[in-house]
Amino acid sequence: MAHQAITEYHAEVHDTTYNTSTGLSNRKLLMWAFLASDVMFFGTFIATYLVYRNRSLVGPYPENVLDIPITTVSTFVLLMSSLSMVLALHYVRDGAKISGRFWIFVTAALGIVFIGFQVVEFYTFVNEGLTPVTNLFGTTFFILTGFHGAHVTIGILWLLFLLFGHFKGTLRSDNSLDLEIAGLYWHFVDIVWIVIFTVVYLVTANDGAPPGAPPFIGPHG
Amino acid sequence: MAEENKTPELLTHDGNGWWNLPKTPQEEPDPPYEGPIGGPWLRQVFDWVTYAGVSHASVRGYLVIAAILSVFTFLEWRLFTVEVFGDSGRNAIMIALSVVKFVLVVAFFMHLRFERKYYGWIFTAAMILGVAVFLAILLLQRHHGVGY
Amino acid sequence: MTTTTLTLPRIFKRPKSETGIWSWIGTVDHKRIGTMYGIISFFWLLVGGFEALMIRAQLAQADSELVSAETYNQLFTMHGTTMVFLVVMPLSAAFFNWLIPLQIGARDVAFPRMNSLSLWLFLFGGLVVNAGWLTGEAPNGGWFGYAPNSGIAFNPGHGMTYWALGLSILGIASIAAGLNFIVTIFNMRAPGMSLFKMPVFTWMTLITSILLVLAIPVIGVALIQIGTDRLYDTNFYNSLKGGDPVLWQHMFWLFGHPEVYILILPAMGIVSEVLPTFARKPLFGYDFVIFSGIGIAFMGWFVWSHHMFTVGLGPAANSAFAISTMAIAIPTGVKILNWMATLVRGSIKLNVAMLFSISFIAMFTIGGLSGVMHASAPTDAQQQDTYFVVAHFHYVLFGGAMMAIFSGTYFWWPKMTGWMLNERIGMVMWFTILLGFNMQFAPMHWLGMDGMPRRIFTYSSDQGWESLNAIASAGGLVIAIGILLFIFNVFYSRKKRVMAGNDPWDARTLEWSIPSPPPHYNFETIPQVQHRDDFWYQKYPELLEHEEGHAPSGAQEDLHLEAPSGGSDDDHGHGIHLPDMSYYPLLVSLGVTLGLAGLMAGLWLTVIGAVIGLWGVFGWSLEPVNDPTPGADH
Repeated sequence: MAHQAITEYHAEVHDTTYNTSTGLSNRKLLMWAFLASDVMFFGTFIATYLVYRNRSLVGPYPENVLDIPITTVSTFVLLMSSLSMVLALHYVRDGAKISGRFWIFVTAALGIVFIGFQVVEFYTFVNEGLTPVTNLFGTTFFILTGFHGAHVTIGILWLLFLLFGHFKGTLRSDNSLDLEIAGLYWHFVDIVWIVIFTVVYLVTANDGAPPGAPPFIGPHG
Repeated sequence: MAEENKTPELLTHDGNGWWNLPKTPQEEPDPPYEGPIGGPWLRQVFDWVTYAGVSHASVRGYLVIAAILSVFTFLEWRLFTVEVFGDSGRNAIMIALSVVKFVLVVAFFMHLRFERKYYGWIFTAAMILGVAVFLAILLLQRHHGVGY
Repeated sequence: MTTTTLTLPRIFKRPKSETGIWSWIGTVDHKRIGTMYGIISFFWLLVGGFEALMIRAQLAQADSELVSAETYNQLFTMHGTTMVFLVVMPLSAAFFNWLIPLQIGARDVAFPRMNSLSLWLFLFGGLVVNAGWLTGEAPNGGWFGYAPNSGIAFNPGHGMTYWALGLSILGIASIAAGLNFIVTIFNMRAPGMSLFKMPVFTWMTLITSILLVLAIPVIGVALIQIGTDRLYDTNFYNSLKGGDPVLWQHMFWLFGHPEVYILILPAMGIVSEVLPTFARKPLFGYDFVIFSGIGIAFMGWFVWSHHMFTVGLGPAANSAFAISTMAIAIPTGVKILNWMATLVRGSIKLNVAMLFSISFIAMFTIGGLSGVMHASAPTDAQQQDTYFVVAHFHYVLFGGAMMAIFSGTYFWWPKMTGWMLNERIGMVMWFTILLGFNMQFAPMHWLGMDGMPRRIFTYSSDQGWESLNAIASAGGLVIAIGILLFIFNVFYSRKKRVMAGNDPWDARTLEWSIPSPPPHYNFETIPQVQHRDDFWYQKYPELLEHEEGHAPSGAQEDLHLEAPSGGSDDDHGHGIHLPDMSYYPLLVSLGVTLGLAGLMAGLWLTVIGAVIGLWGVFGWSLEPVNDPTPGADH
């Protein structure tokens, strides 16, 4: 049975072959190659964060500011936006107008909620005395998560643009590739967050003052 | 030669434009077609999740993946608040969980499992290279800084 | 099929004219973009060369006070930055743009408008990097901008900020170009041209593009870090807050070493095209050359710390990187042997292109050997930051990359313009450059061994370095005469206009099968490829039998390779759709540049840049590749 399924799958794939040397879509190949490039981009930022782990000379340290429960919620929001993204693609591809529109909107909305969480988080951290100039943790944390937030923002703008196009009829099931490529970008931003959530939050959140550095008393202490 | 208006196809890069090549001779497809990723047993699992025979996962598949992602995220949070395995053990479990999440999103939400392997090679090569060089930098840098 | 289309209201009309300045500003044609890359980077070559002459003039005698120490710092920083990012890389890009679609039998690159975006970003990035000359604050921290010396605490002023912002813009241009060529080479090959039937230059371009796409993000992040340090007081490389200078070195060289292969691999590709043509033999060991290229690109990621042997990473790290650095000489040596074996028993024709290619092999081997010398960590400790290192990398970058670029220029000039460059003047130029080059850089080996450090603005007369420095400076002048001869040659030959025809060299690859200069659409009929060096075997099918070990297949007659008659630029009637011109790439790149410049100049400029950039992006994505032209030819 499985074997027959694979054969059907063959047929399915060959239907969507493009007239290029490899049969791959130019734009999708471009997006994957770009994501490969972005892997190195975020990799460098994350490596910087880890190299500077436990090297701040003054507080606040991760244990003083990072809030795991709230970040777990915002992580969940971003993961669910990935789900709505694939559902949007599924329905747009099937030509289901209302569902397609609804799920694109939900994806963008969840993205906005995620950015909202991030804004609140940054605001709280600044109130607690952590800014990009305070110490190495502040510098590496804000620049890394800030660039991730910038990626999410670009993704939101892109999705809203596509949503607009869906209303105007320029995004249809026959060119759902537009949405698929935006989706690849969106999921990539999501997996970068999976890594950031693990590395920056879960693994290093209990880091206190490194040996030789004074403990953190409070923003005004 | 009479041509229809190709504008919609041009918009989707699918039309008869400058990129449109005659087909590669069939006796030498480049690259040769390779089936989905994974061995026989993995294929069985995937076939069930994806209803088998569609070029992308089904809604059921997506919901299953999303449920796994949610459960894993919940587990990570619970794991953070209880202290059972010690620091390094806990970190190892969390990293393992997030690797699974990462792979699930890439394989199913990004459809990499259903795609031609070209895309997979590109992304995997960058991942391996990135992990290798940045681990090397971490290794080289571990003796520097305050407290050492 | 009826569709709704959306467009932004147009302020400028979509450019249509095929002549005049606007046809160049709005162009998306890979050939015109390649030409502009060539012209702009040749201008920067003159600028960088002038900086080099200033350096040599300063060092020509002991205790010289021609320029101040500060000016000297700016000169060597900008000389390095210019030559690497604004000359060798974009000159390679000029060849990529011109040749890749022609070599793979395509009508344009995969993303013509993105190609134009790369060009404009490169132009603006170069201007931003050099903007400091106008205010007297040119970048002065060395081309690798070591932190914290490049940080705000030790380097106040705007110089290194121009450097960081300009290089970021150039980085975006490089990534876009790299992505474009990866997709073009994978997806736009003529039918039958499998990966291992591609010309070697195309292969090297593919490898270089992959390196660009993966390596540039690393320097991008490092530049963001040093940029935010300088502009917003962050702490990445602020030693007072625990910032680590060694991390900058890792970041820079993790990019920097793949970068040197980004510089040299296209040159190797050019040489691999020129040598077989003028030896009238196939390239010896095609697969070995390709796999050596792949091997170099891969191993190039794991050698970066050989730039840091004197940092004190410890014996284990130093040994590991010494071994990997020595190992990378193996694939390089394989290539050199292959080129030499290509020449063995060939019917060699010594013209200018060939002479430059042969000089490439010789000079690059010398540079490569001194490179293997400082692959050894203890030896390197003696050579670090001396003129020995300067000699080494000029032998590989000037004696290597630039020789190959000159070779490629003489080789493909007839294809690009339709007329030949004068061979006699070219010979004189070749001899002048080779002589001047060796006069300038060979003495630096001795100077370096004698302990003369690089990047000092003067030296005292009792150190015994005067005569060698004087020779080196004289060599600089000789090179300058060679470059002037090249300019003279271009104008002279343009006046004489000896027409080239399709195939002046009796060459091997597809670009020679079409008229010179190629028509706008390149190929009237997309060729069907059957062999490596397909065009050669179409001309000489009898050679197939003993060179590839099997009889020519009967399908030869099916090939459609006749060139279209005349050089007319009339696309109509062929049913060939080429992408229309567009201003949006220029707008986007202007927006990016202004937006980044605004980080220095003030928020208002960033806002203006963002508005222009967003307008460009939306206009771009709503603009169809081809405007529908009802009536005319549909």
